[in-house]
Amino acid sequence: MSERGWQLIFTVVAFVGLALLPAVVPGFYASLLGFTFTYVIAAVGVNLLTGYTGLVTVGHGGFFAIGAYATALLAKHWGTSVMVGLIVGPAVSGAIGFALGIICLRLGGAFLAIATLGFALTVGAVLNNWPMFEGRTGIQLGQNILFGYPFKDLGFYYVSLVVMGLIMLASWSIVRSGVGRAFIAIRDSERAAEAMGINLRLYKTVAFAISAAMTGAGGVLFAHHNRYVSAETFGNAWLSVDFLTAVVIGGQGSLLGSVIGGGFVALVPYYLGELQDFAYILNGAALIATLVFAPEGAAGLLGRALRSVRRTHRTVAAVETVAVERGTGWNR
Amino acid sequence: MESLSIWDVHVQFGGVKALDGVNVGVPRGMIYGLIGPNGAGKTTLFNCVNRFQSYSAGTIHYRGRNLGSLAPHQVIGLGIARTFQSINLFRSRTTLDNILIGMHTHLGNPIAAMLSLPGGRRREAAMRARALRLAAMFGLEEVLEQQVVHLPFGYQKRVELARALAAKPSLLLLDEPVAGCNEEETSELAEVIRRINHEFQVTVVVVEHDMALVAAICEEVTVLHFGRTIASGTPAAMLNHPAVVEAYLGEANVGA
Repeated sequence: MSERGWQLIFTVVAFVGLALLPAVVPGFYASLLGFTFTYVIAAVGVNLLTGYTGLVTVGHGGFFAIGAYATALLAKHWGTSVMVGLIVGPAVSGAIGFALGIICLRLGGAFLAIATLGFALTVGAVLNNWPMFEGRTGIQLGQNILFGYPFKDLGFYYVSLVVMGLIMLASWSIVRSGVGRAFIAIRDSERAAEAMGINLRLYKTVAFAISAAMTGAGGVLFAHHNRYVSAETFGNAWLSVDFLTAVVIGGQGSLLGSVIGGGFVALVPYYLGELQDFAYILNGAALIATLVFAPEGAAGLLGRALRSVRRTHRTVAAVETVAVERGTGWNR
Repeated sequence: MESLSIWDVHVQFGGVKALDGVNVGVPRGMIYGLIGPNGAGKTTLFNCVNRFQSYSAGTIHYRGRNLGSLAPHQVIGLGIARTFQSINLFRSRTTLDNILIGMHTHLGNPIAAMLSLPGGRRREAAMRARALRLAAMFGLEEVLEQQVVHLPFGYQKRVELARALAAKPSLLLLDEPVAGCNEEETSELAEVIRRINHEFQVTVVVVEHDMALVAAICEEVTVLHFGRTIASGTPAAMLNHPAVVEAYLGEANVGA
């Protein structure tokens, strides 16, 4: 079977497994996993820009915040539900992502990283100081409702599982299309990409917009998960750093990498419990270790291991065949 | 009939005149050579045609259209494709993906492509079929799914040619296509370039230092020296032209 076939089967099995998990596992952490999914969604967005298009962003916490506040303000003033938030939030953060993309067009490498970091800090400053966003007091969201029915942790788990699935599907579809190939072409060689007719300005800004919209969707879910947003969480650059860390540790240019990295960054502070301030140190150490020992990230490492296992199997099979043909094998 | 006409093009880098009034006229359907010592401005001239480099004076027309107002990514839309002096492939991608990226101008509606709508899927299938044919033509079938960065040099050169042809160009700019190749690879590539010219009806402009190759495949050449056109004519005439000999060998050898 082809590698793509195995990937598809693995993905389907994983999603079916996740859907059945709450029924099978007693004392299931629906709330924790639902929260983890919001990080994975954000990481998928960041990976599209940083992993595939090669534009490093340390600012996507800003788009996460924009998604979260868009839905929080809508809910506060008009009593809207998560469904409306999931449409408006990504639209707003996507539009702002497009604008930021235009501003950052001529920047690359470290300059782009710093510019996007500046964006995250600007968003943080606005949230802290503009009365509409209520600073550190924050905004409370009411009971979560979907199609008229209220839902709690378990319901939220399924909502975010579905949204994560859709966003991963979208990312997968984009990446393997001609548009995704153009993104990767820009990462590999801007010059050659231009010579092939790829409009750098258009494709870079579109990558920015799609990536920001995806991360914004993660923010919307995050707001409804906590039912509370405040500048305490969104008013600094740590979310942005977390998301970039997730993509690097998990694997740049890999969907599986977004899942592994997003999961890692979301769960580390939780399992550290009382020591959760050490998460920064642990993440930093993991980041450095990845860059030094496995630049392709955890997903790349996993893929390499699986391929070598398959190759060994094939080699063993081939040797056995030869042995049988020569009449020297154990199978005789 | 001239397809590419370069007239009085000037490019200045600080105090250096990289191109100082270059004139070149490439007739349609020809394999045309661009030669000259290192630093003569050959690659700079390609970059001008490609719009990677802007020029302070002069004009470049292709099939009657002035290229001066185009952005770099629009040049291929007029049918002008190129290769690079040092191989410039999309290194993390496979041979097939490289050729497919070369077809970017045939992608159609990007939204249909991204969401794999029926129209987008049809186009993708057609692009893949044509990419396979191109790969077969260049003997790349066995390495279709291999990352180009792991391919031998000769293969990478052929991937670059296949990728350049993927856009169905009418003019192909080749920047030192045989640099770093051994004799066998050189004669192979010479044959490939001739086939491209004949079978695809593509006008070819070659920048090359390998004079044997230039003499073998080019019908006409222009010689550049310090950013100026010093002569043009048949390869045989050029190699014996006193100004050309002087440019390559220095004054002391003239008449020796």
